[in-house]
Amino acid sequence: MSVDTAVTEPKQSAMMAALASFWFEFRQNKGALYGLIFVSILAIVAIFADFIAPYSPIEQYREVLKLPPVWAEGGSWAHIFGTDALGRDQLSRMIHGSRYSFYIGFIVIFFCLTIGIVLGLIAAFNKGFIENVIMRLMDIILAFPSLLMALALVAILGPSLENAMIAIAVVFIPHFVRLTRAQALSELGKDYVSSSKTMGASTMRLMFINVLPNCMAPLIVQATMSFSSAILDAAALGFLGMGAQPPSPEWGTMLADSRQYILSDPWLMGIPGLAILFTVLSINLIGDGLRDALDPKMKTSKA
Amino acid sequence: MSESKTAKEAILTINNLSISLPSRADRPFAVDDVSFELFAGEILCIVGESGSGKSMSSNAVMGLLPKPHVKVAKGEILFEGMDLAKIDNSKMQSIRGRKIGMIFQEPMTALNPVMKVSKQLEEVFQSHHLKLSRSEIKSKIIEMLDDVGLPDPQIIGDSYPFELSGGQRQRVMIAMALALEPDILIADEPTTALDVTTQAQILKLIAELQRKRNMGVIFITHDFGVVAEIADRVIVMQLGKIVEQGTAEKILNTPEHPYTRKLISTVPNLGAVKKAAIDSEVVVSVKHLYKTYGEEKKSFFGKASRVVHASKDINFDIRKGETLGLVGESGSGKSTVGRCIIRLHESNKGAVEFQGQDILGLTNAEMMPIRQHIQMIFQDPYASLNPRRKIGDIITEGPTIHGVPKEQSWKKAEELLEIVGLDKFALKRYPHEFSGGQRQRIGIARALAMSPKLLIADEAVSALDVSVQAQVLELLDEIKHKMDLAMLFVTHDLRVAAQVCDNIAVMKLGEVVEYGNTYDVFHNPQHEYTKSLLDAVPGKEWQVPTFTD
Repeated sequence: MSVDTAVTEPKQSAMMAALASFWFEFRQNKGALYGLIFVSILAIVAIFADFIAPYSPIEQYREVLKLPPVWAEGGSWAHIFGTDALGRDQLSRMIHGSRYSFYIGFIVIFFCLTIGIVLGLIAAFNKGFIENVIMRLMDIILAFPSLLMALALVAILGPSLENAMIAIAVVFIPHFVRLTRAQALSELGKDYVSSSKTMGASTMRLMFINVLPNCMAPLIVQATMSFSSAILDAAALGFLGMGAQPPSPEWGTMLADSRQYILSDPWLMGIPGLAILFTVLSINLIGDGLRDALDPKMKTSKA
Repeated sequence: MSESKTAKEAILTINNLSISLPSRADRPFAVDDVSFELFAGEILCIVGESGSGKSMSSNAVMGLLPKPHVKVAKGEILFEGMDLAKIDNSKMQSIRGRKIGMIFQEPMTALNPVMKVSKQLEEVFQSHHLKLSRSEIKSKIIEMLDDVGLPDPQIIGDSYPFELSGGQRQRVMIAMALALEPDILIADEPTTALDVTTQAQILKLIAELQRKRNMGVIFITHDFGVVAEIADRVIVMQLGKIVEQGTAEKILNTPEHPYTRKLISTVPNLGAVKKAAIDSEVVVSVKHLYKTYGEEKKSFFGKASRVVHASKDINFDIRKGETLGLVGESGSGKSTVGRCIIRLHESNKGAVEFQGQDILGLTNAEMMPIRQHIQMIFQDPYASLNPRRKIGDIITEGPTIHGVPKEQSWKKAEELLEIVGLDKFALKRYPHEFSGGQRQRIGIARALAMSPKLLIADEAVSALDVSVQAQVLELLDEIKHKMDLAMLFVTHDLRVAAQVCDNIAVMKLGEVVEYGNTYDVFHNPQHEYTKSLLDAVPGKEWQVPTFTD
């Protein structure tokens, strides 16, 4: 009788194989690939902003106010995207502004993930009173229109970019808590968790070593999607004057600064507006691709 | 077993059928050069292990292959002068249901959950554009439901699928498949998801209807007991090829091909052997154990729920070196008892004395030293290993929790893998790289890493193919003897229980109705329920032959 126990030595590390399979799935989604390229370029621009930007983002060139971009009539190669009402170079402001976008995205997501995961796991592992308190609190936060809630929080904390990020994080956290709890609950029903329990594993061990890694895939997708929403909300708060304060070249704040010129000099709003649009779109496309690649049910074939 | 019919005209002929798989699969063809015939008025069983291509060949007949990845590469499927492999979809639709009916394994997912049963049956008539009035259809539906032995067809027709039991759902499925009186019925593992007594009823029903309507039935199964119960002719498949075909009589009792012989020899025999009584020390003693689910109370956010008695007044002892079988149908509470002993569930009342100490009242901290002595092997080899952790981490988790240094526990894990018959390279791999049988071996190694005194096997071999099942049972037996373990073996499969257990406790609706020596329980059952269970085992009259080679 042939016994079904043959095991060969691993050819390559399992991690590499998993990555390769992930990359294969991700590549299938062309939109996600383009999104990734755009965001990568933007990331490089943000990192090397000091070297790439031709001018300082806050220096004023009084001789050229509201200069149109180079492709419009009267444009000049000295200021490719033109200058704003105070004579600041638009291109340099855009380049430095990309830093704010990543800064906002990463910080907000960091807070959302850590707090969301911890609260979600606590809720999943403590059925009853604690779960009810956490989840109902999240329901209450979700019951407010998110931007209104963020506005109210900023109004309390005072307008600044940091406070805007805190407000956005608070508004986003319930999504992470719910997702983590739902995932954890479905994992808790599986026998590998029972097995760890019979070994005497502590709750902390069950939460973070056994259950959490199996909940990560949808959380990563949610984090990516929220990354773009955070940029969008921060821009909205900036536009309303409740986010980053002038003269910082945050894209939303730039929109707000040029609001009065929308009819006479539309590119002043158009350029940061388009930048926000493409960034958010690209990140959302990446999120879509990640979901396809990470969700085993969507895989093109069983590996 | 009914006598085989001879000199009949073939109603379905399959010639040199090959079905190709996508390029990334483990073999080029799911079904490779398969030819067989189906005659009117016979039940043809296709037997094979998972992945043998038995379902693929019947799906091809119905035009249900998951195109475009899987398609017929060559060969023909001849039915009424047509080649079903080549005709277009609209023609196929007129044949499906009308000429060839099909029933599936899982009756819950095969029925639309948001549609009443009678509506779904109506659909069958409507989709084939039969000129029948509403009242004619109505009376036909009642007649059909009556035909498949459903009581109160009116009420059943007015129910949603979730309101019916598994057996009732399968009966509805059969009624649906037979509504248009097809010439051929394809049954793909129709009883695998059912309890043994329900299975017996469904098998009887299929055989009855087949005789009454003189249909040809293709019955796909992995269970030789079922084959013995129902088949006229048998086809044995392995890796997409037919290795042997012939009358049921011949295949079951004098098979020729070595693969068939191997498969049949792994079928556990129902007759238990008389074993010597064990009178070593008692390891675990369960006394008056009660467990109920649900509480009758209303909270602000929760709903009031009804109380279910999962176990009522359970009493038994397990001694060192003894295997106690806990058998029963689904919902009998047998798994609950196992989980209460290991305290995955908290019980309501009673005592579980482990080596003389009641462990039910212990706090988590007090329980810690005892945890390592009681270990469990789970049913589903896919869900019971953490997919994100390496085998080495999985096996050494227990010892690590109990403070064993890493090097020592990894060395032990290597030894354990050797005991369960796996290579030490497995330690660095992830669970998804292993087959079901291999995973179950890993699960056993994990349990053994704690050097337990009591092993609870919760349906540990139910999800495995019969030949792998035999190997795992052998391994469990070997380990039990080597380490002198006490074992609680929870199973629904009486054949398996007969083979491995010293004593048997039969459970029904949370109560132990019969408890005694395996030989006595099997040969001289006292309780009515035990008798009906034993009576329902498929192929009980078939004495599994033993081969000397």
